[in-house]
Amino acid sequence: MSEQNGNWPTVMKDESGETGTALRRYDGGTKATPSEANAYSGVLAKLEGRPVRLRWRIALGTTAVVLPLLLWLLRPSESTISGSPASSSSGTMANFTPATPSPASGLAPSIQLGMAPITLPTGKLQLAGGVTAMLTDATSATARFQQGTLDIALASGTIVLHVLPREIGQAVLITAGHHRFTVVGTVFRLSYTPRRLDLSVIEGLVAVSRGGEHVATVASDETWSINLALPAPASPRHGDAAPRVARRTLQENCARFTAEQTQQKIACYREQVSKGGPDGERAQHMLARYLRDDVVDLTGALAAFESQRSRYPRGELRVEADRAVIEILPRLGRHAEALVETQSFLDAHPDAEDRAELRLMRGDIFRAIFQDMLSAEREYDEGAEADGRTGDDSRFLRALCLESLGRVNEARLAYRDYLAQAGTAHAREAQRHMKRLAQ
Amino acid sequence: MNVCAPCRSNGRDVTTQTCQIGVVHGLFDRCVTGDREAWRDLHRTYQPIACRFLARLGVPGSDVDDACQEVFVQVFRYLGRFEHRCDFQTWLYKLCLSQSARLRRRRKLQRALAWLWGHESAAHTAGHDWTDRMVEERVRRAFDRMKPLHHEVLVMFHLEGLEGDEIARILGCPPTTVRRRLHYARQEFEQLLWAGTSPAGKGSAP
Repeated sequence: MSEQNGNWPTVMKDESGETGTALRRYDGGTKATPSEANAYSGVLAKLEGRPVRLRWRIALGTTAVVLPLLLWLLRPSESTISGSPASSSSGTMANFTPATPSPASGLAPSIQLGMAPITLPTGKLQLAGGVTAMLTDATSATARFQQGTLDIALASGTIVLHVLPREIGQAVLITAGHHRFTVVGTVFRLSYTPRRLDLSVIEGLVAVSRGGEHVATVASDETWSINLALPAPASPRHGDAAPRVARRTLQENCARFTAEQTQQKIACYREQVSKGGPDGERAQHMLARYLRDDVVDLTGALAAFESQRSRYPRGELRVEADRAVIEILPRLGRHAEALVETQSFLDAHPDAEDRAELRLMRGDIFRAIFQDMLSAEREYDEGAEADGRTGDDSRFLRALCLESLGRVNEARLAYRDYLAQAGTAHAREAQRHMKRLAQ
Repeated sequence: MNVCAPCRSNGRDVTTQTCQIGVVHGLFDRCVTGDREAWRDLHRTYQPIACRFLARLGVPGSDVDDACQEVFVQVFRYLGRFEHRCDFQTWLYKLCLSQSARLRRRRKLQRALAWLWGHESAAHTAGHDWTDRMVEERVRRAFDRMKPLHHEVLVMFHLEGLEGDEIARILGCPPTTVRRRLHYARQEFEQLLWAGTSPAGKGSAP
C-alpha cells in the first residue's frame, strides 16, 4: 500500500486499477440527492409531529402519578397565585417534592429549550437536564437552557419540579418575583401559602437570593422561611430613594458628579439605562462598575450586572458582565454559584485568555470551600499550562491535591516537576512535602 | 443565504471555498433561537452533503431521503446542545454514521424475517455482466458484508476524501487506529469485491 502525507494511504478512488474504477462507478451512482425543498418540509413535519406523540406517551404513562399530585396542589388551602416578576415575591409558588423519583426522568426532553426564553405550556413537561416540570392551569412561566443551566422564570401560578441530582457546574435557577432559588443540590421542598414561603432542604444546597442580594444558603436538613405578609425589608441598594435629577442633566456625562453626589450619579445612570439600546447597556454597565468600585456595594453591583445580562443577553458588554459576576460572587461568599458561573463562562469561551485564572479560582473553591480534592486537582491540572504565577500556583496546588488524595507517586512526580522549574514561588514548601513523602 | 462551502477534506473532491466560521456560528445561534429562516439556510447548505454521505455509506436510494430527514431532525432538535464543541460537519458525519448503522441493523432484521418467511430476495447479482449497474451492486454488496468499522473508515477516507485526523475526530479514536482500520478495510473490501471472480473476469471489467 503506497503512502503519502504522513503515512496515510493513497485514495483508492484515484487509482487506475479495477478497484479504483469500481469505486468511481459506485460513487457516480450516489450523486443523485433528493429535492431539498421536499426534504426540508419532511424534516419540519417530523419535528412538529413527534413531540406530540411523546407527550401523549408521557401523559398516558404517568397519569396515575400526576393526578393525585394535581389534586393535592389544587386543594383550597393553597389558592391560585397571581402576580408578575416585577411586582412582589408574594405571587409565587414552587413545590419540589423530595425523595420521589421523577416518573419521566429517563425520557428525552419533551420541549426543546435554547438560549432564548420559551413560554412553557401547562401540563407535564420533561425539560433539559433531567428536570421534570408540571405547570397547573393559568400558570405563566418561561424557561431557557444555556451551558448546562436551566433558568426558569415563574411569573404566576404553580409549578412542580423534580430535579435530578446536579453535577457541579450545572444549575437550575428559578426566579419567582424578587426571590431567586439556585438549586445546587438535589432535593428540596419549597411550599407557599399567601402568607408564607417555606424552604426545606433534604439533600444538597439551595441558595436563596432576592433582587441580587444573597438571602440565605440552606443546607441539607435545614429550613428557611419568610413571612410574606410582613413588609419587605428596605433595599440596601443605593438610588432607590434618589432624588429625581433635573431633566437638563440627563444628557450630560454622569461622570461629572463628584464623589459625594452618589445618589445623583446613580440616578443619572438609571435614567440613561431607561432609554434602552446600546447606550442603555453601557449605562447599566457603568452603573454596575460604579457600585462595585466606588460605592463598594457588591450586592448592588451584582444585581446591576445580572440585570445587564438579562436585559442585554447578546450585548457588546456581555462578556465583561460575565467576568464581573464571576469576580463578585466569591467575594460575597456565594461559591457554589461562582462555580456555576465559571463553568458556563468556560463552556462559552473555551479559549478565553483568563481561562487559567478561572481554573485556578475554581480549584481553590473546590479545595478550600468544598474540600473536593478530586475536582480541585482536575481544575489545577487545566490551569497548569499557564505561564507566570497562575501556572506556578496551579502546579503546586495540584501536587498538594494529589497528596491529599493519597496518590503518593503522582504527587511525588508533580512536586518533582514543579521543583525542576526555576524561580518557583512555593519551592520551599514543595521540598518539605517531597521530604515527607519520601519518608 | 449560502452559509459556507462544505469545509472539509484534504483537498480532494471538495470545493475550496473558505468556511466563514463566524457566519456559521451566527447561523447556529439563530437556529438555536428557533429562527426558521436560519434552519432553512442550514438545511440548504448541508443537506446535499448528508445525503451524499448516506448514499456512499450504502443506504439504498429509496431510503436516503428518509434517512437524511432523520439526521436533520436530530440536528434541529439537539442543536442547542452542540455549542461548537467540534466542527459542525464532524457532528453531522457522526449523526449520519449512527443513522446508517440503524438502517443497516433494520435491513439485517428484514433479511432475517424474509428468510424465515421464505421470501429471500432474488436480486443477487451473478455472472460477469460488468455493466455500471452491476459494478455498483457489487461494491454495494461488498460494503454490506464488510465490518461496519472498516466500511465507515473506507467510505470516509476513499470516497468522502476526509483527512485521517478528521475521521479520528468523528469516530472518537486515535489517528493510528484509523490508519490501521484503513489498511484492513482495503484488504477486506478487495477480497469481498472480487470474491468469486476469476482473474479473467476481474480483468474484463471495463
